Amino acid sequence: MFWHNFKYTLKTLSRNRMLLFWTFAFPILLGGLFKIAFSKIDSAESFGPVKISVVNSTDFQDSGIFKTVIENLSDENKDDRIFDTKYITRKESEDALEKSEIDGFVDFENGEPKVFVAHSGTNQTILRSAVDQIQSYTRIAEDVAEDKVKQKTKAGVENINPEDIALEVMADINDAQVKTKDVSPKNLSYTTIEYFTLIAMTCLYGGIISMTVVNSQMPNMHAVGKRSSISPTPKLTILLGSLLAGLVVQVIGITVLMLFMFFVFQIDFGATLPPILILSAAGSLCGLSIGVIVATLVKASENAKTGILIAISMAGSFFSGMMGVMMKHTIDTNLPILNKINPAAMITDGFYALYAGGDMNRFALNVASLCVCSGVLLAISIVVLRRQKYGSL
Amino acid sequence: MAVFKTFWRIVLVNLGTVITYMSLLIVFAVINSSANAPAAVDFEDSRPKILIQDEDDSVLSRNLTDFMKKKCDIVEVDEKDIEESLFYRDIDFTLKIPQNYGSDLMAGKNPEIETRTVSSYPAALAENMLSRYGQTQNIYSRIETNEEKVAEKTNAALEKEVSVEISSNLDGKKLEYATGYLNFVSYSGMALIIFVICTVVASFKKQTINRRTLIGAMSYQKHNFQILLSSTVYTLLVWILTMIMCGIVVGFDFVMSPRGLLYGLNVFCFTFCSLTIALLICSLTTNKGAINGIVNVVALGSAFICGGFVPIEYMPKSIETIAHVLPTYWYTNTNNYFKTMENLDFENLKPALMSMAILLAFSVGFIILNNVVTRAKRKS
Repeated sequence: MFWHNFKYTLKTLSRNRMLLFWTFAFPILLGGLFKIAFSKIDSAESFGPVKISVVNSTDFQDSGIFKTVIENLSDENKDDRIFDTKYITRKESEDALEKSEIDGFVDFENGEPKVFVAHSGTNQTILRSAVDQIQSYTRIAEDVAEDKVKQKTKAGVENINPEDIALEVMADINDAQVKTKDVSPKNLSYTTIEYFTLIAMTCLYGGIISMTVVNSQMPNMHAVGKRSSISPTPKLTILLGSLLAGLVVQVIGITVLMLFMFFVFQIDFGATLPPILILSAAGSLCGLSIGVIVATLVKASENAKTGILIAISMAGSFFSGMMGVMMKHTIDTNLPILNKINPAAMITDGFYALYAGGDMNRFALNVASLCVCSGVLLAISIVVLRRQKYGSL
Repeated sequence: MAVFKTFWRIVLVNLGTVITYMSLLIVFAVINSSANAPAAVDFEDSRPKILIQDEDDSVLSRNLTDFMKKKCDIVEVDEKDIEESLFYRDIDFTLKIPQNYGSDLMAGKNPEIETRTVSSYPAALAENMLSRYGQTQNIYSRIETNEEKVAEKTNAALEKEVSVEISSNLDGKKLEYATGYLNFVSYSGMALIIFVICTVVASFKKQTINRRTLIGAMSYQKHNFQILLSSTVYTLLVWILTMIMCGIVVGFDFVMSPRGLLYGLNVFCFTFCSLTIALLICSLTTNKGAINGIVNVVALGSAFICGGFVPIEYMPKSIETIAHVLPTYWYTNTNNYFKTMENLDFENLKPALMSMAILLAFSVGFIILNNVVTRAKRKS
C-alpha cells in the first residue's frame, strides 16, 4: 500500500501545474533575474579610476610637483591609476560636476589648490586625500632637500647643483613607497549569497508540495482524504508514502535548479558536491515539514494555506538576504534569534560556511539545526494528525 | 454597498499576507535608514571601516595607528570573525603591523605590512591613506635618527589639509533614505495591490458566486462600479500608508516639502498603474493559485530588473534598455531623478513629469487592454 500511494501521489503531483511552477519554473526564473541584476554589481563595487577634472589654468601649469603627481596618478598606461582626469576650463568643470559626469574638480585659488565637489562621498574623499598628499609632498621635498644639502656640505661638496638635488629628492620620494602584502580572502563576492537564498527559498517552497499531499489525505479537505480515512490501511503508511513522493519531486526540483546554477548561471559554491547535496536535502526536508505543519494546524482553504506558505517562504528569504545581502548580516548582528529559527537563514548560512573557507563546524551546525527543526515540526504534526477524529464525514 | 463591504471582508481574510508584505516594507525602511548615506550641506570625509593589528607597539607603529584612527573608523572583531566581517563589508580593510616594525624602519629596512581588502572604493581610500602615511614615514626614517623625531616630522608633513567647497545644498541623507525606501515600494506596494485586488475579484468571479450575482437584483454595472470603487479606495490606502511610513523613516517635514510632495505624486502614479495591472490580471485569470505566482513574477521580477532592489546603474546596459518597457523603470527612474535634482523649477521638472506621464500612459494602455480582454472573453 505504501508504494501504491507513493506511485499515485507522484503521478498526481507531476500533473499539478501550480506545483510545477513553484518547484521548477519560479526558482529558475528568479535565478535568471539574479543573473541579470547582479552580473555587473561585483565589478561596479570594485575600485576603478575616480573621474575628476583639473582646471587647466596658468597656476596649474606652473605648479611643478602638483602637475607631475596628478599626471602620474592619472596615467592611462598604469593599471593602478587613481584618477581619470580631464584638463578643462572652470566653466566646463562646473557643468560636468552638475551633470555628475565627474566626482569633483581641482582649481587653484590664491596659488593654493582647492577641491570642488557636489556632495560628500568616498570618491570625493579619495580626491581630497590625494590632493592633501600632493600638498604634503612640498614640505617633504623641502625637508629632504635640506637634509641632502646638509649631507653634501658635510661631505665637503662645494658646487651643489639645485637641479641634481631636486632629482634626488624626487627619486627618494618615489623610492619610499610602503611595502604591503595582500592576504585578502579569495571568495568575497557577496552577490553569491543571493543564489544561496534562492536555493533556500526553493527548499521552503517544497512546503507547498507536502501541504498538497497532506491536504489530499485530510477528510475535511479532499474527497480522497475521506476515502483513505475509512480504509483499513494505517494513516501513517499512507502519509509516509505520499510524503516520500513529495520529497522525490522536491529533490528533482532542487537538482534541476542546481544544474542551472552550475552550468547556466555558473555559480562558484566554493565546495565539493557532497556537502552541497547534504545541505539541500536537509533544507528540502525542513521545507516539507513546514508544509506538513501548515496543512495540519491551519484550518483554512488550500489557497489560503498556499498564501501562508508563500508568505513564510518570502519572509524567510527576505531575512536571509534575498532582497539585499546585508539584511542577513544585519539580522545576525542585531536580532540573531530570528535567523536562528529561520530555516532559509540556516540554509543560506550553511552554504556561506562552505563558500567562505569551508568552516565545517558551522556547516554541520546548520545541517543539524535544519534536521532538528524538521523533527520538531513533523513530531507536532503527527501528534495533531493522530488526534484528528471525525464523528461523521 | 454590499459588494463594497464584502470586498473589505475578503481583505480581512487575507490580512496575514497583507501584514507580511507591509512588514517587509517596514523592516526594509528601518534597515535602509540605518545605512550609510552622504552627509548634508558640509563636506564630511568618508571614513572607511578598518581593523588594525599592531604586533609591534613601538612609537612608529602607534603613530601609524593614531593617523589611521583619525581618518578611519576602527572596528574591533575577533581574529576568527575577520573574514566574515570583510565579506559583509563590516570591515573594508585590515592591516597588520609586524613585530619590530619601528626598529626595522629605523634600520633602513622597509618592513612589510599585511593587508586584507575587499577591493571596494572605501578599501581603496583606506589603502591610499596607508600608502600616504607609510611613504611619508619611510622618507623621514631615512633622514631622522630616532622614532620620536620621525613621528613628529611625519605628523607635521601630513598636517596640511586642502579646503573643499561643496556645491550642492541638497540633504543627501534624507534623499538617499527616501529614494531607497520608495524604490523598494516598487516591489512591496505592487505586490500588495495586485495580490489583494486579484484575490478579492477572483472570489467574486468564482462560478457559484458569479451565478448568484448574475441573477441578483443588483445590475452588473453597479456591481462592477463597487468593485472598482473599493479597489481604488484600497489602492489609495496603500499609497497613504506608504507615505506615512516614508514620513516616519525620513521625517514628515520632508514628506510635506515640495520635493517630498513630488515623490508622493510619483508614488501615486505608480500605485494607480499597479491598480490597472491588477485589474488586467483579474480579467486574464481568476485562479487563486495562479495569482500568487503572477504577483511574484510581475512585482518581484520588475523590481529586480528596474532598480527596485539594486540601483539601475549596476545593471548591464542591455537590461536597462529592456527595463524601459516596464512601468517600474519609469517609477524608480523618477525617484532617482528627484534625489539629484538641484532646483525645483519647471525646466528641471520636465524629465520627471515626462516619466510620470509615461506611467499614466502605461495605465491607460492596461485599461484599454483590460477592456479588449473582457470583451473577447464575453464573446467567447
